Amino acid sequence: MMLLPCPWCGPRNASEFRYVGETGPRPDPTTATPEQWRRHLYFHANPRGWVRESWYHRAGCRRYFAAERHTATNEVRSSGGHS
Amino acid sequence: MSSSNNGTGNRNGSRNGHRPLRRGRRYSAWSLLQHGLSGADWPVTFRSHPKRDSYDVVIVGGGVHGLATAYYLAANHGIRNVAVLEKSYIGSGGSGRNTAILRSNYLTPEGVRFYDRSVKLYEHLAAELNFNVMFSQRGHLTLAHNDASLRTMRWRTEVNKLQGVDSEVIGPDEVKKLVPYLDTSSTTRYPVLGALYHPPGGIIRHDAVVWGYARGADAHGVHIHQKTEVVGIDVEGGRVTGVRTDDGHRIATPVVVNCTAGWSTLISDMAGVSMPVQTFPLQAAVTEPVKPFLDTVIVSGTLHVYVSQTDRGELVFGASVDPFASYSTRGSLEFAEGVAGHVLELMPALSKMRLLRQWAGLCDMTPDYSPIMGPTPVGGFYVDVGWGTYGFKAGPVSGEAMADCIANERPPEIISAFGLDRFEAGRLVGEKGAAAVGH
Amino acid sequence: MSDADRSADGPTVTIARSPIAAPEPLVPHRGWEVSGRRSAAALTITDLTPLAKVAVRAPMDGAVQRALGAPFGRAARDGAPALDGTLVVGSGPGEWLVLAPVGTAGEVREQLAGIVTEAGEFGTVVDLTHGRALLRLRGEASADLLAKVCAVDLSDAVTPDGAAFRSSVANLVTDVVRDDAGGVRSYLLHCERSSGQYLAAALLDAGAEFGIDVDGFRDPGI
Repeated sequence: MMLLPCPWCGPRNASEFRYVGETGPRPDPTTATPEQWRRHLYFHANPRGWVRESWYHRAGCRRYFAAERHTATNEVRSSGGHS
Repeated sequence: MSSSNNGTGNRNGSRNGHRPLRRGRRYSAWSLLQHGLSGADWPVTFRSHPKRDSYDVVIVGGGVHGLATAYYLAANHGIRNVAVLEKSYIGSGGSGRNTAILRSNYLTPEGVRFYDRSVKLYEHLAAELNFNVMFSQRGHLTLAHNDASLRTMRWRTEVNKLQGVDSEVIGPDEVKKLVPYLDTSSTTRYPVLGALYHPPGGIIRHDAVVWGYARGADAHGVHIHQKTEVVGIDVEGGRVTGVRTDDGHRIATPVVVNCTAGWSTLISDMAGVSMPVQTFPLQAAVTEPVKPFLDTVIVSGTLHVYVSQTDRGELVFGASVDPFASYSTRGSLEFAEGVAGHVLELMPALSKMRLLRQWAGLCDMTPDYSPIMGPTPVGGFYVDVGWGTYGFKAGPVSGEAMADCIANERPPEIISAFGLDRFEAGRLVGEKGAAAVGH
Repeated sequence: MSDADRSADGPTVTIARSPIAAPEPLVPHRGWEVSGRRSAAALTITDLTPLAKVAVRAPMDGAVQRALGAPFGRAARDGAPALDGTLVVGSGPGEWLVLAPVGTAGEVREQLAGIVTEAGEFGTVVDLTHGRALLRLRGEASADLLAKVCAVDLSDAVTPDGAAFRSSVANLVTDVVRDDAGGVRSYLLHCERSSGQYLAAALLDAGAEFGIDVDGFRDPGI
């Protein structure tokens, strides 16, 4: 499918991972209105281009990491750290 | 904008007295024979026009939704100064890549009413458009492999019946009579406990629906511009004023309709409208042609697969969307392996068949597996998106409803539950149980 | 799991069994029922589930890691002196699996708890002996077999002797250790207990073309 560079295990087939979704700022759950919270839950940027997103290595180290991927070519440009 | 409210609520699909294609050439056995023997060139199905500087309505996206909307705007409401802008060739997106299954056995009452209207329109579409769309209403089976699934089938059946849609829960013996090649023994990993049998469901020639609507719209004077990509939408004072295309044109228009499915957030972004949509690839595959042996559509939710046999004898397979968001339309080995394994669970006799081709289309997925239709916060900017993996079967009813919505400047009742504002308001229409893999 | 073997005129005996069906002859071994079958085939599969298996979690790259002597991605037999006779596998970042002879899980757990306490780090030590299945593939063709069901590069450059990784093997999440026993190419595979029979069957199926045969348990196993 495509290779994802897990920061701990190295490049592995995308089927070893679970796609979590676009990363981005989260509103404060204690002060957000229901409308603001739903907006955060449901709305996405969905670019045809580079996007920063979170992955979970379920068949490997079982850690989360963030990666930058181009959604049209599936090229992955950087990964590492925590999502 | 002038409009004639011609009542789109007729359940028998009758029009308002406008005969379709009164200016075009009607196909008939006689005219085809005559033309074939004359040796003359065949006329084009729809004409090419130079772009006008302005239109009353600009529809972005030349798939079944965009073309149906254009057709019904003209045929039902007399709005003909319409342009359909398609960045590639018509039907090149989801309309040309789906597995061509039609059905209305959904889970929610709004969903059932909606898709039933579409099936009824499809039943008369060939006559209305004077174009053979090859709708084969051969029956549709959704297999249940566990108690929870059987319960959902009963639930769907009851909702369907209350809306006047023919659905029934049948047992494994009856399933076996319909599909002799199906392994209904109790020793499989996921035995068939029963199925939701939906006789009005079936398959259709998806390209023909696109071409039929294009021809019908063209005959009414709609302009179809292929190889024309929208690169910008002008918004002034909170209202749409025009679109800009990749060939440097600016087209003035008070109404823009987004019918671009997998690319829909890119278009909505141009108008400054954000949407709860994410694009995922959906793969499909087709086998070599064999003698006809399967005359029902089979779907298994547990096994994540659906199968049908085309008139050419090829088996068409589909499953669920790829596990991550992407704009790529490549197939993958994981899909081929998965779908083959699951189909062989159902019909082991197929193990020697060869897979001929696989491909993918782009699906605009929403959080509740229901579409987003109607106006947006930007005046004159309408959306008919969020069609995910279940858009093709809804083409006719969507076109009819969107045309009504645009002509009368308010969403008709049949789509009132699908507004963009439902997400922030928390009024989701949850159809995952009947939409996902059920198509 | 354990079973009470009641005989009309004798004491009850507890027997532990692996989830993987054992071929005849069945023999007792330190409280477990194992296969006593012997094979001289060039490629063999052995059920090592009876081995003691203890899992440790502690911060990656800390004092516990230094004490255990195996970083993430490597397995070591000569790490901590207190763990002589065991194989310490760095199976994940901050995750280790210690494999030891049958019946020694209790002592090994104590040793490891001591190491974690002494290191002063927050960690856990859990006896997983009965929660995991463990297999050994042995033979020159073992890499060819594994390559059919696992996508990781098994060449010497990427996974040499002593390398450890976790990936998908026959669609199961499985820990793999290259452990060339007696100089012959060999792999240890370890998965959750319920999937053990499936993993064994999948490997036997994949190995049929190489003439794979089942070899019974031989002490010490590790």
